This record gives sequence, C-alpha cells and structure tokens, in this order.
Amino acid sequence: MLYLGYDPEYRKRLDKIDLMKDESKFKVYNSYDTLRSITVNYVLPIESDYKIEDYKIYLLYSTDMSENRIYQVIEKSLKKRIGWIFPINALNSTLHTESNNPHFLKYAFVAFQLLLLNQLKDTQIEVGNNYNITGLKRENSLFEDNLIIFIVNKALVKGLNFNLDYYLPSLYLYNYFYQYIENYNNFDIYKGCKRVVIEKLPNILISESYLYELFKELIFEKHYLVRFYLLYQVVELLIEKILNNEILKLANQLKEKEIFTREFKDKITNFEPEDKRIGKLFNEYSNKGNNIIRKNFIEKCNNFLTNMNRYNKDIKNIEKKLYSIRNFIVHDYRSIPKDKINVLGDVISSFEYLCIDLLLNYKEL
Amino acid sequence: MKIINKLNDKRIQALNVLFEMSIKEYSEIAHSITKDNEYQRKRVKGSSTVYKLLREDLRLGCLIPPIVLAIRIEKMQKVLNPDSMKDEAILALIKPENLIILDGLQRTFTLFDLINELKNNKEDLNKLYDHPLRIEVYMGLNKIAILYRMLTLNTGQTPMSIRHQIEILYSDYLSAQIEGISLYREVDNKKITKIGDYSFKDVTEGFNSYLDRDELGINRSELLENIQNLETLANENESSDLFRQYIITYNNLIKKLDALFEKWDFTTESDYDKNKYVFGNNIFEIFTKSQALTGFGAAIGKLKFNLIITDFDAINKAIEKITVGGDNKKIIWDLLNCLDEIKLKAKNIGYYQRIYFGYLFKELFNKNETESYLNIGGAIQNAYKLYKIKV
Repeated sequence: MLYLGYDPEYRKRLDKIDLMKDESKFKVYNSYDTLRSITVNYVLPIESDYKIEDYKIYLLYSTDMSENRIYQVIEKSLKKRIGWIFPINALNSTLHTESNNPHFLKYAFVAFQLLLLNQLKDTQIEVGNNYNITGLKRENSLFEDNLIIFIVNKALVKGLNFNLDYYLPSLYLYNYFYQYIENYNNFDIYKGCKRVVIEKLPNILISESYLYELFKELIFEKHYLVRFYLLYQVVELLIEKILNNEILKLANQLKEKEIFTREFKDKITNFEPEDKRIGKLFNEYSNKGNNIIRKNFIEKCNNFLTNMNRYNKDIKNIEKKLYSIRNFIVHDYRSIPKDKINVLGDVISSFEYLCIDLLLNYKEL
Repeated sequence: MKIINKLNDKRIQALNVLFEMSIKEYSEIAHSITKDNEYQRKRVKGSSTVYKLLREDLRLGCLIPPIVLAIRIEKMQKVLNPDSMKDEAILALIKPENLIILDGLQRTFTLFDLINELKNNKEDLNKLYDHPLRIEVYMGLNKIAILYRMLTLNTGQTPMSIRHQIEILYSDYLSAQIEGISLYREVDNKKITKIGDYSFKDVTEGFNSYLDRDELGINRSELLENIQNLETLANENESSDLFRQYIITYNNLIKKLDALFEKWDFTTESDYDKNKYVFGNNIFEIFTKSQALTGFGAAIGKLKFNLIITDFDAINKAIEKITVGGDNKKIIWDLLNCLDEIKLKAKNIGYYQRIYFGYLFKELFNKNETESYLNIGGAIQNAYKLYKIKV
C-alpha cells in the first residue's frame, strides 16, 4: 500500500484517487486527510470509460520485460478476452505499439489507478511530491520496473470462479511467473505470440494443493537435481491418479461381472509398474498435448543422453525418454561432469513445460 | 512600505531586504508579477482545503510567513554593489516588472481569492488591505541563484517540476533569435514541421545530456548538487554561449543529413505501407525527437570529456565532411530497422533508443573509429553492434 507519514501507528494509507484531467495527473490521498496528497503523472491518452471497481489487477513477474509485450488475454474455455497483460513500463510510455489503441488505453487507465491504490508492498512517499509510476534515474518513481500487470474484467470471469492460482501453470508457458526471478533458462515458445491464451487447470486437479506450492515457490528452486525431483512430483501425482482411476474402472467391471478375479489381477499387474502408467499418461490421459513442447523435450533429452554416452537410438517415444532421464538422474546424477551440467539444465527447463502441458491436458477416461 | 532590515546571503552572494508592507501594497505589485511572468509557476490545483483555511485565517488577521521575492540581476540598473544602495534606491526598484516570486506564490493566489471574495464588502476589504505583510526581496539574482533559491525554499507542499527548473535556466532562449532556429513550448501548440523548429523541452533535455554526459540528463537532486557546476557553466557561458552553440551545431547536422539523404521521405517509398511503424517519416522527424537530441548531447559531452573533440566549432567543421558511406536508402532503412528492433525488445523503449543514438553520434564524431568516423552508414551499423553487446 502507499502510505503517508513515517510513524507506522499514525501513517495513512492512500485510498482515494482523482484525475486532474487538465494536467494529465492523478491526485492520490487518504479519504480522511484531504489536505495532504501526492500527484502521479499519467502520460498515456486518457480513456476513462471504465470504472475501477469493475476490474482487478494481479502482479506477476517475467524474465522478458520488453515494453512492447502488451497482449490481450483470452480465457480458453470462454474463447474471449478477459483482460490485458503488460509490463508496468507500458503505463509510463507512449512509444509502444498500443499507445493509441483505445481498447488497451481503457484498461491501462484503470490498471494505473488500481496499482496506486493496491500496491502490495508498503511504500513510503513524500507528501506533495510529483511521481511517476515507474521511471529512470531522473524521475521520482513509485514502483520498480520489473512488474507485470495482469488486469481482468470481473464481470467477464464471474461465471468461472476465477482464481489466479488456477492459471499459474498456463501463465508460466508465456514467461509470466508468480515470483521475481533473474536469468531463468526458459524455453521461449511464447515469443511471437499475438495474444495470451490462458487455460484453467482441469477441475480434477484443482484440489491438488501441491501444484500451487510448486508454481508459487518450488519451481524457482535453482539446483537442477532438486528442481527435477520437485517437477517429477507432477508425473507422480498424475500416474497415481491414473492408477486409482484404472483400479476403479476394473472394480466396476468386476462388480458388473464383465471381468473376473484372475483377469482383474492380471490387468492390475499389467499397468501397475511406473513406466506403464507413464505410457498411459502420454498416450491416453494427456494425449492431446503441444507438439512443440513434446518435440523440444525429446530433443533436449537426446542431447543430454548423447553427452552422457547413454543415447539409445531404439528408444524413440517420449514416455521412454522421460523414464530414461528419470532413471539417469535418480541413479547416476553423480556421474554428470561439471562442465555438462548446463545440458541437464536444458532438459529440466523443457521438462517444466512438459509438466505444464501434461497438467493442462490431463483428463480421466 | 518600509524597509525593516538588510542581511547578506553569503551562499548566493546577494543582499536580502526585509520589507513590511500592507496587503494592498503587495497585492498591487503581485498582481502584475503573476500575470506577466510566464515562468512564474502556475496555480496549484487540488489543495483547496488548505487554502480555504488560509483565507479564513487572513480574514481574522493572521500573520502569514514572509513571502520571498527577487529582483533579477538585469533589472538592477547596473548597480554594482547593492549593499551600498540607499533605501530610496531600493524602494524605487520594487516594481512588478522587476520582480519574481521565489516563495509564496500559492499564498499570493489565496490573497487574490480573498480580495475577490470581499470586493462587495468594502469594510472587510479595507480591513484586509491594511493588514501588514512581511516581504523579503533578494536584490539582483542571476538565473542560477534564482533557481537555487527557488529549489531550496521550495520544500513545502508543491515542489517545482524538473522541467520547470530547466525551463527557467534556459528561458531567455525562447525569445532570443538563433540563426534559423525557433524553439517552441508545448503551450505554444505549434506543430513542429520544418528543419529549424524544435520543441524547447526536447532541446533543453538534449543540452542537459550534454552537460551531464548522460542520455537521461540531470535529475532533481542532482540539479541541486550540481548547482556549483551550473554556476561555473554560467560563467563559461558569458564568453561562449554553449546552449546556442549546441542547438546551432545540431541544426547544422540535421541540415547536412537531410541533404546527404536527398530529402528522403518514407511516404514516397515505392512499397509505402501506411500501417508500418517507422520511427520517423523523414530526416527531420527522425532527428528532432528527444531520443536523438539527448543521444547527441550525451555523445558530444562524452567525446569532449575524453578530449577527443575540443569544442562545437570542431564538430561544425566535421559535419561538413560527413559522407553517407553506401546506398542512401539502404542506410536510412538500416537506421529505421535498428530503432524498430529496439522498440520490439527494449524494457524501456525511449531510454534505449536514446542510448542507441548516443552510440551513433559517438561513432560518427570519434576520429579514433576509422570505420564510422564521419561516415553515417558505418556509424549506424557500428552503433547497433555496440548496442547489442553492451545492452
């Protein structure tokens, strides 16, 4: 929150905002203390059709903060725009490509105000000063320039029970993260996209709290071995669900006398091993994934296994590649030479995307 | 109106005279000051409650803190030593056309409001008019000292913007004739359409980049810290007017580039696509943007600091020798493509385009760079290589 005053006990949160249209500035102040205020410059053309109470903003991070990365956000199931996503610098510049787009400007106008009223970090400010929302050394700026603003029209997502957490895996694919990270070795499939299409986690996975922990915190772990284990839990989680689902299906068949005890036992033995269930995951439960992500994973695995002299040209399909990599990391991590560790880093980066792809496409049969 | 005492301000070396005058006397002087002085700050909106309270207090006869005025040095009628001035001579200088309000502008506006409110109530108005005020007047301040005092007095509710401070510094150039060059402020609402026309703000920013050897120029706190340098600059400026030289040199460069590129115009290109983004449609548009002006300022500042060039005369001579260094159209498109690439990828488009122009001009005027010295095509390419390495 933005506060006036230094004494924590008496400081006042700035909770009111007025546009000073003639001067292209906002006056921000406390509703019970109208005598003291700050002003904040607004450089974009003013499009004031929207009301702030109808919108909500979320703050995210990215390793690509290009000012021009301004996108409409489409919700996949709704097949329509629910808002915009852009770097905070886009609010303090007229040089980007959307600076004359009235659709963007309406959202920007609201986002600017919401940002001033709902800043998450406590910020001490000086009464009477004139600020910019972000800026370089010559300006008084209120925010760091490493924030991504995601603004959502509340009415458009009303029926969705919208919760940002459900969309964190999907946003990750576009290089939008819950935490600030530097120099992350990401696979840049998001580059060149025209819009950001976000997708909710499948309903069957929504109650899995580990996934939120993963995308809010654990995925930012830097040690490759630890990161692999943390990510591999996604595969473990999904194949456990597959096992349960398959057993339930068989139990039903048994109950309906479609199969008998011996067949029941044989079938369980048949899919119970981990590699078999991984196969089912790729080929049945999450078989409509993104080809680019899957091909990239295979390529990175081949590269790694070749570097480790473990490449087997007969192993071609993705589930076997994953299993080989998993076995190598679990049993032979110690044998990776220091100068080859980055090759493993590439595998793990592409594995992140693969995990997200598996999650978003997972459905029970 | 009477003089109460005289003290010396040793920091800015000026005589400060304390007057006592009635609100009527002050309002007569102040009215013209606020009306005629375009560089006096404007009225601040949005603090109405405070000023309403002040109006009520004034009606009750409250004493307000002294208002601080200054007489600009050029209005001192060549008085060499203000300390020895007689009271009559000082009083004779207290005229609206000689004065500027350093501190107390908003209080002055509040007084006007109250006078206006009471215009139909003669009795109360006269009571107010008779009320005394303390007024301090600095005798004979130069522009730097005015700015310094404005900044240091201005610690209250409505600080002055950086732009305002800078504009005060260079305000004389707005009305001055500089050969073939006109400077316009935003309020002039004049569309900049031809070589020789510039936005005053962009030119002052560019000049600050020259002084600071930095594409971003000077910020508020640095301005205070650098007041010493500015004073030195003011002294230097007396013999050689750097601001004038800076803009004349830049204008010569644009004229030269326009001639070299044969008045290239995007809208006459054979594959002209109206929807394509280009940084500027012609040489004039490209090089009158603040990114180019600040890049030039910073580059020349750095080259001068590193003793690679001596002065603006040397640059003017060098400008005459600039060559294109290849196919005209290809080179101009190289430049536009570089700027477009920066736009697509930069975290802060304006800043990084300034940095790029800084590299470009540094390459162009650095005689140690054999590939790009006075070769605009080479400079455009080398600058982008440098940009990619360093940014």
